[in-house]
Amino acid sequence: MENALTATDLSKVYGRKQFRALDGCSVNVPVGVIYGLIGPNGAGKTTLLRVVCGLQRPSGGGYSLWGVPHDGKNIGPVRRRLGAVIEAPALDPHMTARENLRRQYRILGLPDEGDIPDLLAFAGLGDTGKKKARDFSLGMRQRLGIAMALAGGPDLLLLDEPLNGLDPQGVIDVREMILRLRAERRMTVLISSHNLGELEKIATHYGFLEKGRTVREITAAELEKSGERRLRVTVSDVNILARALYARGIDYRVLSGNEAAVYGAVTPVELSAILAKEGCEILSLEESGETLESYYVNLMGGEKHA
Amino acid sequence: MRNVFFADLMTCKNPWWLYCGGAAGLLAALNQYQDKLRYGDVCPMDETLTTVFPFAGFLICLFCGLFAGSEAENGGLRRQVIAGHSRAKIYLAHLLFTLLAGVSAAAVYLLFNIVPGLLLLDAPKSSLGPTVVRLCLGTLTLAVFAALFHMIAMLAGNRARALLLCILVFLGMLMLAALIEGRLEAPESISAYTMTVDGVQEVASEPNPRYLSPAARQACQFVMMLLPAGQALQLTMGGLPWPWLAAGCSLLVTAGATLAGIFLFRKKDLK
Repeated sequence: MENALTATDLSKVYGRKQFRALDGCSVNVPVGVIYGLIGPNGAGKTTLLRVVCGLQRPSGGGYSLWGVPHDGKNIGPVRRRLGAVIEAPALDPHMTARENLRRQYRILGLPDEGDIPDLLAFAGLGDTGKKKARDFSLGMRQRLGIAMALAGGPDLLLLDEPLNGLDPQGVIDVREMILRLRAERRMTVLISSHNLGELEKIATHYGFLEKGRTVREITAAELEKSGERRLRVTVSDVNILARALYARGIDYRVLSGNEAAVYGAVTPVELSAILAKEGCEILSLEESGETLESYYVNLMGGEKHA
Repeated sequence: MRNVFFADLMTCKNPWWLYCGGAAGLLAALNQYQDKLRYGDVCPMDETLTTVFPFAGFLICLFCGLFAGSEAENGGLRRQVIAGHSRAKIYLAHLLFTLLAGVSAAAVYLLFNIVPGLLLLDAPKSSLGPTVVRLCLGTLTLAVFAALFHMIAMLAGNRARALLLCILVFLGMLMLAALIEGRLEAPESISAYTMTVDGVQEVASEPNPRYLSPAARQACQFVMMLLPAGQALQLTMGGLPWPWLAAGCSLLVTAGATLAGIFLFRKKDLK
């Protein structure tokens, strides 16, 4: 599969103290995926996005966009295939949403402004009229920032913490917007976020960063397979459960006085039958696999980042 | 570059620098008219024309701090870089916009100064030729102001810092120029008064210790020509001693500041 973005051994060093924000970071973002960039504060997520956008020059290593190296002659036109919202959305606060988009079209040299109303509607800003961007809510600004990044129909969208500070409805709006972009426009999206729960709902690929390095890259399907499935049950007598499972060689762990986690291939129906035979009542049962959060905690060491 | 320049023009919904230019031009003409009425002075209409240059220089200083600083702060520069424009083109487009704002403010000043001057004040004391030369030299001086303040503002990173630095540099240049001009204007000799025993005053001419030697005078003149505030001040006070050299200095400083600005801006990490 062709990569929209490939970064190899990328490093970025700041200041006299030689702080290494990126230290041999490598990521591969295939075309058409939603790639979630995950890492603790200071892992280098925003720096990576800044470097890829050309806002900062790499101190070492390199990256390529659709195979064109960052220091190649043709990188200028290739960058036009890229849209980005990095940290705060880049808006002129004295302009309306429409005026901001018109200015963005002018910057991109796009003569036809006919699809501005569609973009505004897509971002849910079609009815903002003469309201200035400075009077927008945080969610509206975020959506306008994304709409501006979408001007010209980019092939790769970079979003840095797009869900930060949004209210629940704002989070849903932005999440839906990203999913629609992939579904309707076949757009590649690279998102950095701390919100693992939300990221898990939309990302198809993940990259884990720590101290400026890529710790691991994994697809959502691989994540799904990698985790051991388990049944979390609340029962009337956990001792009966323990005896019954032990006798049948099923792996389990007692969590509390009446709670236990059951591992392996046993299904809820099978477990119910086993326990019914032993006269143990199931009060509740929950099936779960490896979550992004548990994977992240195992990979990075949860207590360090708690 | 053209796209960035036209995108900059879209921010001109409230061209405050033009309003300031017009108001200052009108006030200067009315002030002269008031003097004419009060003291019966002869007030040539071209006397306040050249005060436009230090004033337009100050407007350029404010404009750079506010515009380029805002572009950095609001993410306008980021948008242009992400859109694939080279940093050199972004820098030059903004510089052109700054120069356009400065020259247009000066033009509005002149318009609002000349029109009431024609109606209310006396005939101009200078002929058209020297006035046109002074206006051309002044336009070059505005280009130096624009190049210097634009460089500062583009590298400052945010609006408050850009504005503060631009104002401080402007005031510093103006004070230095005024200081040097004071030394250049010092007379060669001064009158010394001596009181005799019988109370009779005697006046004797003595060499002025503050009078600059020919070499120092030339050096000061050169510094005045390098400083845009120095040129603006000299234009206001009657004209530049070596117009061609002054024009050359203006072009040199403009080109130097622009090249240095592009070089540094290309290396700058944008946040």
